[in-house]
Amino acid sequence: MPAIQILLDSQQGPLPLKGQFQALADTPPSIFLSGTAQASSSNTSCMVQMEVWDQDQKYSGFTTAVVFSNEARQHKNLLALLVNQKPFTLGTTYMYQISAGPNTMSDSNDFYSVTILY
Amino acid sequence: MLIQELFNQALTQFPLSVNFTPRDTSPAQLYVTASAYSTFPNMLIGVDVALDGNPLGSLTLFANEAYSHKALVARLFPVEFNDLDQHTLTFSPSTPNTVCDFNDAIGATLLMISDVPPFVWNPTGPIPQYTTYQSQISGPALLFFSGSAFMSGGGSMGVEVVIGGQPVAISQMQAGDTTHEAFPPRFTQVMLKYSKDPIEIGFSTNSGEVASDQNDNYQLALIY
Repeated sequence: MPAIQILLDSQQGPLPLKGQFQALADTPPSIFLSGTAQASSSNTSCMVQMEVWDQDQKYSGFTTAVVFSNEARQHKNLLALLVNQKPFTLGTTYMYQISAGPNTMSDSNDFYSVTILY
Repeated sequence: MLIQELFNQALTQFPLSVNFTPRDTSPAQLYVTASAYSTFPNMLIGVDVALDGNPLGSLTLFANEAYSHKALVARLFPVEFNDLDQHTLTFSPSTPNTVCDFNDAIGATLLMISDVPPFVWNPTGPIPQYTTYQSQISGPALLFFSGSAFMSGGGSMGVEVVIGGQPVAISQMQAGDTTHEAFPPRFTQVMLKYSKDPIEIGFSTNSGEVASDQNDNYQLALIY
Protein backbone atom coordinates (compact mmCIF):
# COMPACT_ATOMS: atom_id res chain seq x y z
CA MET A 1 0.00 0.00 0.00
CA PRO A 2 1.38 3.40 -0.91
CA ALA A 3 1.58 6.35 1.42
CA ILE A 4 -1.45 8.48 0.58
CA GLN A 5 -1.48 12.26 0.90
CA ILE A 6 -4.70 14.17 0.23
CA LEU A 7 -4.05 17.79 -0.73
CA LEU A 8 -7.56 18.68 -1.88
CA ASP A 9 -10.72 16.75 -1.08
CA SER A 10 -13.42 17.92 -3.52
CA GLN A 11 -12.39 21.52 -2.86
CA GLN A 12 -14.73 24.17 -4.26
CA GLY A 13 -13.37 26.59 -6.89
CA PRO A 14 -12.78 29.05 -8.35
CA LEU A 15 -9.16 28.64 -9.34
CA PRO A 16 -6.45 29.36 -8.50
CA LEU A 17 -6.21 27.16 -5.43
CA LYS A 18 -2.96 27.32 -3.47
CA GLY A 19 -1.53 25.38 -0.58
CA GLN A 20 1.47 23.61 0.83
CA PHE A 21 2.36 20.14 2.01
CA GLN A 22 5.18 18.23 3.62
CA ALA A 23 6.42 15.32 1.55
CA LEU A 24 5.58 12.01 3.22
CA ALA A 25 8.31 10.05 1.47
CA ASP A 26 11.26 10.35 -0.87
CA THR A 27 10.08 7.53 -3.12
CA PRO A 28 8.87 8.54 -6.61
CA PRO A 29 5.43 10.10 -6.17
CA SER A 30 2.48 10.17 -8.55
CA ILE A 31 -0.02 13.02 -8.51
CA PHE A 32 -3.71 12.51 -9.31
CA LEU A 33 -5.59 15.73 -10.12
CA SER A 34 -9.29 15.53 -10.91
CA GLY A 35 -12.04 18.09 -11.28
CA THR A 36 -14.12 20.14 -13.66
CA ALA A 37 -13.80 23.44 -15.52
CA GLN A 38 -15.39 25.40 -18.34
CA ALA A 39 -14.12 26.55 -21.71
CA SER A 40 -14.51 30.29 -22.27
CA SER A 41 -15.30 29.74 -25.95
CA SER A 42 -16.65 26.83 -27.94
CA ASN A 43 -14.54 24.13 -29.58
CA THR A 44 -11.40 24.52 -27.53
CA SER A 45 -9.47 22.55 -24.97
CA CYS A 46 -10.33 23.07 -21.35
CA MET A 47 -7.28 22.64 -19.12
CA VAL A 48 -6.33 22.88 -15.46
CA GLN A 49 -2.70 22.66 -14.37
CA MET A 50 -0.97 21.99 -11.08
CA GLU A 51 2.53 23.24 -10.34
CA VAL A 52 4.67 22.33 -7.33
CA TRP A 53 7.67 24.31 -6.04
CA ASP A 54 10.10 23.87 -3.18
CA GLN A 55 10.93 26.73 -0.80
CA ASP A 56 13.70 27.92 -3.12
CA GLN A 57 11.04 28.39 -5.80
CA LYS A 58 12.61 25.49 -7.63
CA TYR A 59 10.16 23.68 -9.86
CA SER A 60 9.38 20.25 -8.37
CA GLY A 61 6.27 18.88 -10.02
CA PHE A 62 3.66 19.40 -12.69
CA THR A 63 0.50 17.79 -13.98
CA THR A 64 -2.56 18.73 -16.01
CA ALA A 65 -6.17 17.64 -16.46
CA VAL A 66 -7.62 18.34 -19.90
CA VAL A 67 -10.70 17.71 -22.02
CA PHE A 68 -11.88 19.14 -25.33
CA SER A 69 -15.09 21.14 -24.92
CA ASN A 70 -17.42 21.73 -27.83
CA GLU A 71 -19.63 23.95 -25.68
CA ALA A 72 -18.63 27.25 -24.11
CA ARG A 73 -19.29 27.90 -20.40
CA GLN A 74 -20.40 24.38 -19.65
CA HIS A 75 -18.84 22.53 -16.72
CA LYS A 76 -16.79 19.64 -18.04
CA ASN A 77 -15.23 16.69 -16.27
CA LEU A 78 -11.50 16.72 -17.05
CA LEU A 79 -9.47 13.62 -17.87
CA ALA A 80 -7.67 12.73 -14.65
CA LEU A 81 -4.26 11.09 -14.90
CA LEU A 82 -1.89 9.50 -12.43
CA VAL A 83 1.33 11.26 -13.39
CA ASN A 84 4.79 10.21 -12.17
CA GLN A 85 6.91 12.95 -10.62
CA LYS A 86 10.54 13.14 -9.63
CA PRO A 87 11.00 12.33 -5.93
CA PHE A 88 10.29 14.96 -3.32
CA THR A 89 12.55 15.25 -0.28
CA LEU A 90 11.06 13.59 2.80
CA GLY A 91 9.79 16.15 5.29
CA THR A 92 10.40 19.12 3.02
CA THR A 93 7.62 21.65 2.61
CA TYR A 94 6.42 22.26 -0.94
CA MET A 95 4.00 24.84 -2.31
CA TYR A 96 1.46 24.09 -5.00
CA GLN A 97 -0.93 26.03 -7.17
CA ILE A 98 -3.77 24.78 -9.33
CA SER A 99 -4.71 27.25 -12.03
CA ALA A 100 -6.86 27.45 -15.13
CA GLY A 101 -5.13 27.11 -18.49
CA PRO A 102 -5.75 29.15 -21.63
CA ASN A 103 -9.43 29.56 -22.59
CA THR A 104 -10.45 27.92 -19.32
CA MET A 105 -12.65 29.26 -16.52
CA SER A 106 -13.67 27.93 -13.14
CA ASP A 107 -16.15 29.10 -10.51
CA SER A 108 -17.73 27.98 -7.26
CA ASN A 109 -19.53 25.17 -9.10
CA ASP A 110 -16.22 23.48 -9.97
CA PHE A 111 -14.55 21.10 -7.52
CA TYR A 112 -10.99 19.82 -7.37
CA SER A 113 -9.28 16.86 -5.72
CA VAL A 114 -5.56 16.14 -5.50
CA THR A 115 -3.99 12.98 -4.13
CA ILE A 116 -0.31 12.08 -4.01
CA LEU A 117 0.61 8.40 -3.93
CA TYR A 118 4.19 7.62 -2.84
CA MET B 1 5.39 -0.57 -4.62
CA LEU B 2 5.44 0.93 -8.07
CA ILE B 3 3.23 3.31 -10.00
CA GLN B 4 4.22 3.27 -13.66
CA GLU B 5 2.77 5.92 -15.92
CA LEU B 6 2.44 4.17 -19.28
CA PHE B 7 1.24 6.89 -21.64
CA ASN B 8 -0.92 9.95 -22.06
CA GLN B 9 -1.59 10.72 -25.69
CA ALA B 10 -4.11 11.74 -28.32
CA LEU B 11 -6.74 9.14 -29.18
CA THR B 12 -6.83 10.01 -32.84
CA GLN B 13 -8.49 6.92 -34.25
CA PHE B 14 -9.78 3.44 -33.47
CA PRO B 15 -8.31 0.95 -32.99
CA LEU B 16 -5.32 2.35 -31.16
CA SER B 17 -2.54 0.04 -29.97
CA VAL B 18 0.15 1.15 -27.55
CA ASN B 19 3.16 -0.94 -26.55
CA PHE B 20 4.72 -0.79 -23.11
CA THR B 21 7.07 -2.76 -20.91
CA PRO B 22 6.05 -3.34 -17.28
CA ARG B 23 8.77 -2.73 -14.71
CA ASP B 24 7.54 -5.42 -12.34
CA THR B 25 5.67 -8.71 -12.36
CA SER B 26 3.50 -7.95 -9.34
CA PRO B 27 -0.29 -8.06 -9.52
CA ALA B 28 -1.40 -4.64 -10.70
CA GLN B 29 -4.38 -2.41 -11.29
CA LEU B 30 -4.39 -0.75 -14.70
CA TYR B 31 -5.94 2.73 -14.53
CA VAL B 32 -7.36 3.96 -17.83
CA THR B 33 -9.03 7.28 -18.67
CA ALA B 34 -10.21 8.48 -22.09
CA SER B 35 -12.54 10.79 -23.95
CA ALA B 36 -14.67 10.19 -27.05
CA TYR B 37 -17.94 11.38 -28.59
CA SER B 38 -21.10 10.10 -30.17
CA THR B 39 -22.31 10.58 -33.72
CA PHE B 40 -25.94 10.42 -32.57
CA PRO B 41 -27.73 11.85 -29.52
CA ASN B 42 -28.77 9.64 -26.62
CA MET B 43 -26.39 6.79 -27.28
CA LEU B 44 -24.08 4.73 -25.12
CA ILE B 45 -20.46 5.32 -26.10
CA GLY B 46 -17.38 3.56 -24.86
CA VAL B 47 -13.86 2.33 -25.36
CA ASP B 48 -13.02 -1.37 -25.08
CA VAL B 49 -9.66 -2.10 -23.48
CA ALA B 50 -7.67 -5.25 -24.35
CA LEU B 51 -4.29 -6.40 -23.08
CA ASP B 52 -2.33 -8.54 -25.53
CA GLY B 53 -5.59 -9.25 -27.34
CA ASN B 54 -7.48 -10.28 -24.22
CA PRO B 55 -10.49 -8.06 -23.35
CA LEU B 56 -10.26 -6.35 -19.96
CA GLY B 57 -13.48 -4.34 -20.07
CA SER B 58 -14.77 -0.96 -21.17
CA LEU B 59 -14.90 2.70 -20.28
CA THR B 60 -18.44 3.91 -21.00
CA LEU B 61 -20.77 6.90 -20.82
CA PHE B 62 -24.28 7.62 -22.03
CA ALA B 63 -23.92 10.59 -24.41
CA ASN B 64 -27.03 12.74 -24.60
CA GLU B 65 -25.47 15.14 -27.08
CA ALA B 66 -24.06 14.21 -30.46
CA TYR B 67 -20.64 15.52 -31.48
CA SER B 68 -19.73 16.62 -27.96
CA HIS B 69 -16.45 15.29 -26.59
CA LYS B 70 -16.94 13.60 -23.23
CA ALA B 71 -14.71 12.22 -20.51
CA LEU B 72 -15.71 8.57 -20.13
CA VAL B 73 -16.00 6.86 -16.76
CA ALA B 74 -12.40 6.05 -15.79
CA ARG B 75 -11.71 2.54 -14.54
CA LEU B 76 -9.25 0.19 -12.94
CA PHE B 77 -8.65 -3.23 -14.48
CA PRO B 78 -6.86 -6.04 -12.62
CA VAL B 79 -3.82 -7.32 -14.56
CA GLU B 80 -0.75 -9.41 -13.86
CA PHE B 81 2.44 -9.85 -15.84
CA ASN B 82 4.57 -12.99 -15.80
CA ASP B 83 7.48 -11.34 -17.59
CA LEU B 84 9.09 -8.00 -18.25
CA ASP B 85 8.61 -8.22 -22.01
CA GLN B 86 6.77 -5.77 -24.23
CA HIS B 87 2.98 -5.90 -24.00
CA THR B 88 0.24 -4.19 -25.97
CA LEU B 89 -2.87 -2.32 -24.94
CA THR B 90 -5.50 -1.97 -27.66
CA PHE B 91 -8.43 0.43 -27.55
CA SER B 92 -11.51 -0.07 -29.73
CA PRO B 93 -14.97 1.49 -29.90
CA SER B 94 -17.53 -0.28 -27.70
CA THR B 95 -20.45 0.82 -29.85
CA PRO B 96 -20.84 1.67 -33.56
CA ASN B 97 -21.51 5.35 -32.81
CA THR B 98 -18.41 5.86 -30.64
CA VAL B 99 -15.99 8.18 -32.40
CA CYS B 100 -12.70 9.82 -31.53
CA ASP B 101 -10.44 12.37 -33.21
CA PHE B 102 -7.28 14.35 -32.54
CA ASN B 103 -9.09 16.30 -29.80
CA ASP B 104 -9.57 13.15 -27.69
CA ALA B 105 -7.02 11.73 -25.31
CA ILE B 106 -6.27 8.50 -23.50
CA GLY B 107 -4.02 7.76 -20.57
CA ALA B 108 -2.99 4.65 -18.67
CA THR B 109 -1.03 3.96 -15.50
CA LEU B 110 -0.08 0.70 -13.80
CA LEU B 111 -0.48 0.59 -10.03
CA MET B 112 1.63 -2.22 -8.57
CA ILE B 113 0.96 -1.19 -5.02
CA SER B 114 -0.35 -4.21 -3.15
CA ASP B 115 -0.11 -7.99 -3.24
CA VAL B 116 -3.41 -8.25 -1.37
CA PRO B 117 -6.38 -8.71 -3.70
CA PRO B 118 -8.46 -5.51 -3.65
CA PHE B 119 -12.19 -5.32 -3.13
CA VAL B 120 -13.65 -4.20 -6.46
CA TRP B 121 -17.32 -3.59 -7.22
CA ASN B 122 -18.69 -2.56 -10.63
CA PRO B 123 -22.42 -1.88 -10.31
CA THR B 124 -24.76 -0.47 -12.91
CA GLY B 125 -27.18 2.31 -11.90
CA PRO B 126 -29.43 3.43 -10.48
CA ILE B 127 -27.92 4.49 -7.18
CA PRO B 128 -28.19 4.48 -4.16
CA GLN B 129 -26.99 0.91 -4.29
CA TYR B 130 -25.08 -1.14 -1.77
CA THR B 131 -23.22 -4.40 -1.38
CA THR B 132 -21.06 -5.83 1.40
CA TYR B 133 -17.37 -6.54 1.77
CA GLN B 134 -15.30 -8.41 4.29
CA SER B 135 -12.76 -6.07 5.82
CA GLN B 136 -9.22 -7.33 5.24
CA ILE B 137 -7.54 -4.86 7.55
CA SER B 138 -7.99 -2.31 10.27
CA GLY B 139 -6.38 0.91 9.13
CA PRO B 140 -5.89 3.02 6.02
CA ALA B 141 -6.83 1.82 2.55
CA LEU B 142 -6.78 3.47 -0.86
CA LEU B 143 -10.29 4.07 -2.20
CA PHE B 144 -10.90 4.59 -5.91
CA PHE B 145 -14.33 5.38 -7.29
CA SER B 146 -15.82 6.58 -10.56
CA GLY B 147 -19.15 6.70 -12.32
CA SER B 148 -21.74 8.92 -13.94
CA ALA B 149 -25.09 10.45 -13.08
CA PHE B 150 -27.45 13.24 -14.15
CA MET B 151 -29.89 15.83 -12.78
CA SER B 152 -33.25 16.90 -14.13
CA GLY B 153 -32.88 20.64 -14.62
CA GLY B 154 -29.17 20.49 -13.90
CA GLY B 155 -27.41 21.71 -10.80
CA SER B 156 -24.82 20.74 -8.24
CA MET B 157 -24.45 16.98 -8.22
CA GLY B 158 -22.56 14.91 -5.66
CA VAL B 159 -21.98 11.15 -5.61
CA GLU B 160 -20.81 9.68 -2.33
CA VAL B 161 -19.20 6.43 -1.24
CA VAL B 162 -20.81 5.16 1.94
CA ILE B 163 -19.19 2.60 4.24
CA GLY B 164 -21.03 1.23 7.25
CA GLY B 165 -23.72 3.86 6.87
CA GLN B 166 -21.27 6.79 6.85
CA PRO B 167 -20.32 8.87 3.79
CA VAL B 168 -16.53 8.61 3.46
CA ALA B 169 -15.85 10.36 0.14
CA ILE B 170 -17.60 12.54 -2.39
CA SER B 171 -17.15 13.66 -5.97
CA GLN B 172 -19.00 16.78 -7.07
CA MET B 173 -19.70 18.65 -10.27
CA GLN B 174 -22.20 21.00 -11.91
CA ALA B 175 -24.47 18.94 -14.14
CA GLY B 176 -26.23 20.11 -17.27
CA ASP B 177 -29.96 19.62 -17.76
CA THR B 178 -30.63 15.87 -17.72
CA THR B 179 -27.36 15.00 -19.37
CA HIS B 180 -25.34 12.06 -18.12
CA GLU B 181 -21.92 13.19 -16.96
CA ALA B 182 -18.97 11.20 -15.67
CA PHE B 183 -18.13 12.79 -12.33
CA PRO B 184 -14.46 13.39 -11.49
CA PRO B 185 -12.88 10.08 -10.43
CA ARG B 186 -11.24 10.01 -7.03
CA PHE B 187 -8.29 8.30 -5.37
CA THR B 188 -8.57 8.99 -1.66
CA GLN B 189 -7.80 7.43 1.69
CA VAL B 190 -10.33 5.77 3.96
CA MET B 191 -9.87 4.31 7.41
CA LEU B 192 -11.26 0.79 7.67
CA LYS B 193 -12.23 -1.11 10.80
CA TYR B 194 -11.71 -4.84 11.02
CA SER B 195 -14.93 -6.74 11.35
CA LYS B 196 -15.66 -10.43 11.20
CA ASP B 197 -19.09 -9.51 9.85
CA PRO B 198 -19.67 -8.17 6.32
CA ILE B 199 -19.70 -4.37 6.12
CA GLU B 200 -22.11 -2.47 3.89
CA ILE B 201 -20.49 -0.36 1.20
CA GLY B 202 -21.97 1.47 -1.76
CA PHE B 203 -22.84 4.58 -3.69
CA SER B 204 -25.30 7.26 -2.66
CA THR B 205 -25.95 10.88 -3.62
CA ASN B 206 -25.81 14.13 -1.67
CA SER B 207 -29.25 15.13 -2.90
CA GLY B 208 -32.47 13.40 -3.90
CA GLU B 209 -32.34 15.38 -7.14
CA VAL B 210 -29.27 13.50 -8.37
CA ALA B 211 -30.43 10.70 -10.64
CA SER B 212 -28.94 7.70 -12.38
CA ASP B 213 -30.25 4.81 -14.41
CA GLN B 214 -29.14 1.62 -16.13
CA ASN B 215 -26.99 3.70 -18.49
CA ASP B 216 -24.73 4.79 -15.63
CA ASN B 217 -21.82 2.56 -14.61
CA TYR B 218 -19.83 2.76 -11.42
CA GLN B 219 -16.63 1.37 -9.99
CA LEU B 220 -15.47 1.25 -6.42
CA ALA B 221 -12.17 -0.32 -5.32
CA LEU B 222 -10.59 -0.70 -1.90
CA ILE B 223 -6.87 -1.35 -2.22
CA TYR B 224 -5.35 -2.63 1.02
